[in-house]
Formats: sequence, structure tokens, C-alpha cells
Amino acid sequence: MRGRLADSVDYLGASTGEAIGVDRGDVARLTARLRAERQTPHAFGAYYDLVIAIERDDRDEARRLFDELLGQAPSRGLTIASIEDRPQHELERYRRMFLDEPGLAAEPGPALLDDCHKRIAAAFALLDAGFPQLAAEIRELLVEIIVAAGPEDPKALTFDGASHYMLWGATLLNARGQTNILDTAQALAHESGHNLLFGHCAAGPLADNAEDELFASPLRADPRPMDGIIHATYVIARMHQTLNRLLAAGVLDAGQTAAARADLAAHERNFGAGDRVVREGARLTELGDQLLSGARAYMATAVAA
Amino acid sequence: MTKRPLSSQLDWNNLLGFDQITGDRDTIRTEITGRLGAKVGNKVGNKVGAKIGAKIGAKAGIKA
Repeated sequence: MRGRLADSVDYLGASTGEAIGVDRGDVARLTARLRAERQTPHAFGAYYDLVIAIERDDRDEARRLFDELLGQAPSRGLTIASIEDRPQHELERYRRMFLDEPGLAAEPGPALLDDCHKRIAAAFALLDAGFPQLAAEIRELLVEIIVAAGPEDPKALTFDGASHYMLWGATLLNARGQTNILDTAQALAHESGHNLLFGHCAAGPLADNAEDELFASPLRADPRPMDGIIHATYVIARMHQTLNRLLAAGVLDAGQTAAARADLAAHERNFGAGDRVVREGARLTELGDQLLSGARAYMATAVAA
Repeated sequence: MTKRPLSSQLDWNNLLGFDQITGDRDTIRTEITGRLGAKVGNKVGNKVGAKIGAKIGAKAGIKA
């Protein structure tokens, strides 16, 4: 992904840098850095905003975004922070890109944020104990976990978590969306799964279905394009695998074990529903077929066991 | 003298995330250049994301 980002920025510099007033040497130094060091989600976010600014012919904004890219510090590892704990332009980008309704992601109060921090730490500890390979993979995939507070109204539109390919490495978690450690562990498996697929999708789409072809989703009430169904089906298998491994490792207490068994049954049903939609309607690419085949093989083995 | 629009100098085939849009680039370009503000990014995100399996899958956790 960083290589593709660097190639794209290199191309932007060569094709429009002079018109924007960007120095070729600066672009070369930037792309070398992008290739060499782990980047924050805002390196990707600023790049996408830059392309959009260029498309709008907004040269001042394009120059500002190039400067933002030039000033990006590399990632120093996974961080966890509340949504408003960052510069204004990064906050605006997160709210705009993560959610269709930016107002959904409010700043959590200190107690809510502290609880969420503790749950995330405990979820990682649980995964370290019972499924260390996944814990390590999540730490590789995620650069930042952003904590926000969804609406308190139980009837309001809300979210559990969100990821966006324009912010590769970032995941937004609703501090009110998970109330226990096991759910948080599943949310981390789920959202990092989306980021994993985003990385794969840099090489090509998962399916050739048109974006206006909509299908029933195993996780959402509203019909979604096939890419969304494939994503959902894949991450359901990932959550199932997480619970299965935690149960097998014997690291769950009695309450967590009962909850995990109930969730496993739900994941099996949801995976079946999603996979039926995929089998009936998807025109999978080779990449999509390869990824789904792995998930199907896992589910078939796990359910038979 | 008029400046050549920057957008005319971009080939999306060379751009991560935009390179998989095949059918309606002109329409999307019109939407980008015809609207202002934060919603522009959302629009492109929807278009691009729907195509490459990002935006939609990204929000699988949202309850409707």
C-alpha cells in the first residue's frame, strides 16, 4: 500500500507539481519516506483529499495538502486516542470519511473514554493469551484506533465500528458500541479485517458487480453493493475464528464462554446468509474468489468440528 | 491566458484508489468539480469505495 501510495504521489508531483508550486526534490524526499516508513492514516487521507482538490482545480488547497503530506510524521506504532484529540483538519477528515453522518461520532466524556481504553487493552490481552497470531496481525494492520461516542438514544442510527480505505490503518470504535471485553476483541477482529481487505483491494476489486447492484446484507438492514456483502461475509468468518480460538485456548471465563457460544451460532447463521448472497449474485474476481474460499474453508471446517 | 485545468492532467489509472473506476469517470469528475466542501470527498468516497469494496464494507458495523 505504501509503495502504491508513493507511486501515486510521485505521479501527482510529476503531472501537477509545477502548477501547484511543489518542488520536485520535496516530492522525491516524500515518496522515499512513504516507501521506507510506516505511515499514519492521514498520509492516505491527505493523498485522497489532494487528488480531489486537483480534480476541483483548487490549487491552494492542493498545495496545502501537499504540504500536509510533506509534514507527515511516520507512524510509531498503534495509538489509541479520542476523536477530537488531534488537529482540526484531521478531526474534520475523520468525521467526513468514516461516517455518512459525521455528527454520529461525538467526543466521548473522560469516564467513557477511560472505560473504552481499558476494554481495548483487556481485549488485546485476551487475544494475546488466546489467539496471539491475530493480536499481532491487528497491531500490524491498525495504526490508530479512534474512540468516539455514538448516540445515546437506543432508537438512533448508530455504529459499532467503521473503517475506510481512504484512511488505511485507522479504525473508529464507538465507545458505547461494545460494553464488554469479548465484544471489543470481536470488534478489533472485524474492523482490522476490513483494513486487511482494503490492502488486498489495492491490487483489484473483489467482484465485478456494478456499484448500483444491491443485495441483502447479513449485517445491515439496508441493501448493499456486492463488495459490501463480501466484506461483511469475510469479517463474520474472522469474528467466528476469533471466538473459536479463544474458546479452544481456554482463556474465557464462564460468562464469556456462554456469550462466545451464542455469538458463534449467530456468526454461523450470518456467514451462511452472506455466503448465499455471494454465491447467487457475485461475479467474483480471482482475488475475491481466493479470499472468500479461505473464509469458506475455515467455516466449513469449524462448523463440522 | 487561461490555465489548463489540473484535472485534465491526471490519468486515474496511475492513482491508488481511483484506478479501479472504469465506467463513469466523467460523471464522477463532474460531481467533484461541480460541488464544493466536505460532501465532495464523501461523494468520491462513495463512488470509489463502492467499486473497490471499501466504503460499503467499511461501514458494515453501522446499524441501520
